[in-house]
Amino acid sequence: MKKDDNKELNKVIDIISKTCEIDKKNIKESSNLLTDLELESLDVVDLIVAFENEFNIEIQDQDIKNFQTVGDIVNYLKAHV
Amino acid sequence: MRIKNEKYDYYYHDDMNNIKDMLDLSIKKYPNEIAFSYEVDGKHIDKTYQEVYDESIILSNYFYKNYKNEHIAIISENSYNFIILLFGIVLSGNICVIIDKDLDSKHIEKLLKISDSKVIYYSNKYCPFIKEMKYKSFIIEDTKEYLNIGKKYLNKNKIDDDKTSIIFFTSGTTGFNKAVMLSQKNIVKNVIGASSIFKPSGSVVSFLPFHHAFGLITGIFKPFNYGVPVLINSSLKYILDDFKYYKPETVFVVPLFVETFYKQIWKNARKTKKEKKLKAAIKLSNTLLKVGIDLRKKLFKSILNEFGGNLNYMICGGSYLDKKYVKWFRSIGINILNGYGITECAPVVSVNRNHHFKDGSIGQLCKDVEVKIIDGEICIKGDIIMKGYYKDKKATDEVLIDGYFHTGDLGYIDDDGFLFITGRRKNLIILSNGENISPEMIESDLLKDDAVCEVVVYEENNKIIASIFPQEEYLGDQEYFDDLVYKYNKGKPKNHQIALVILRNEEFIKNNNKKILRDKVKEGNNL
Repeated sequence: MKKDDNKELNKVIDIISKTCEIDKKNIKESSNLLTDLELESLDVVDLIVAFENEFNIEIQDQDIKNFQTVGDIVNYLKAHV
Repeated sequence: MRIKNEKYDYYYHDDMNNIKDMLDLSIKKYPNEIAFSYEVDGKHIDKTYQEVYDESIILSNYFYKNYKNEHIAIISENSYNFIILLFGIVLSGNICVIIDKDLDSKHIEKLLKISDSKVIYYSNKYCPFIKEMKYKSFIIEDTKEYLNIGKKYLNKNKIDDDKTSIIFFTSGTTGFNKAVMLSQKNIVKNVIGASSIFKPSGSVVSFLPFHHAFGLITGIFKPFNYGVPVLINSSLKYILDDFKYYKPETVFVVPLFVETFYKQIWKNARKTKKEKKLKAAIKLSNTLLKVGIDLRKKLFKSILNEFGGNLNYMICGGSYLDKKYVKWFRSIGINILNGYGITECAPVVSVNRNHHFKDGSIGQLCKDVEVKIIDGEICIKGDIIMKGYYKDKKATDEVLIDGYFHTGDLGYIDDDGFLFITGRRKNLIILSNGENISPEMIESDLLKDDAVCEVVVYEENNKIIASIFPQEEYLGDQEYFDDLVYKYNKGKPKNHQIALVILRNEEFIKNNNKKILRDKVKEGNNL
């Protein structure tokens, strides 16, 4: 179970790093998207599109509001993929 | 060919006094042209002006039958139904209250209360929690049902041009939300005024939220009135797809979009290892432009194709936009026309013209808008000025004085008639010796340094303090910023000098519109 957790997290970190050009070292499960990763609201939209393409799912706009940390995205993907 | 930039006459516009006039005019001029396009469940739908007219009239029958002089709230994402419901409400003599769908339920209830809204039409997709509220509420997705009911009745309302028709909430960075009352006359006169100085060409993709006067009146009513088709974007996720599909010539934006587009372009260039090539191409293009050769469409084809290939104008308003973006986008072939608007003015006051513009300026005054600079403050007069803040005479009296609306913004008009903003009166630092200092002016100076990410300047114990959130590599580098301020202070009168620099490790707390909550900075809650 723990291994799976890491797998999901690592994949999320990988996508954030590639999409937002942020060093993987600086992305942690607890990182806040706006304050720690310095993303703007529109960057987050861009990121969501990257996740949709990667996981072949549709993330509803109203759910995006709930993504505050990297961990929130991981949990969402676990529940929906 | 050089870019033309000189004074010219207003664009002609037929007169109108209310929203019914606007709809009548639209079917007289372009009945079978496409007014709006949108997607529902993956299906593309086009609506002609005649269809928009017919459905709005039918909905006005529905609202007239059910409500008299009622405050009816719409809480929804942007959609075609939003527009025709709003037309139906105002044509039937009821008052449409527009509320941001992204607010939490507590805040929404507060705004419903402030505006005395009794009925709600809401998006079940976005705000399902509304059905739990103690209000008469209806789902926007069921608009077809309301149309079926409306067919059986007749709207007998006689429109009063000057009566309050739409209530918008302002998103002030200080104080509470205020409910701005606009009449139909305010709105259509603004559409005419703005249309007389700026002309959208080709099609438009609309993505600014309708709960802002800029997103609705400027982004929708204005192109509607000009007879150009508008694609209603349903989610920012699809914005680039919409650009490619609809190939817009004009979009309406706030600075955040411009900054993000800029960032994305450079990011893509880095990813495809074309950063150096892009820099060189911009340099070359700018040099060629100076001698009258325009190769921008060719040189930047791949970038322009990301915007659909036809994007000519980005009309920008809402907050301060650095002129570096205006220059940069012009060098790749996209013209940013910066403007100035305020909800209380329904909303556009000024905008740079298609062929007469000045970088750093917020443009020329719309037709029939009078401006007077009183004690440095921009004050506006004309048919576009709101009726007041709903049930808030005190706040209304503070801003509406002798027929002039006091914007709270400081600025001036140059000899060519271009308006410039220099700061905001509300945030003025007033020192004990009576001197007024605009923190925004100091902030914009400090922001010129690449190490400064965000800054708020305020006064404490009669001293000017700069609270700075540095760029990542400068976090905690007190020495660097002390030196920066030292250079800034050099040669300035003592009272104008920055006394203290406080460095932050986190960005400032902002409101929904990404404006820094300045009051919180001073209260210490934003530290």
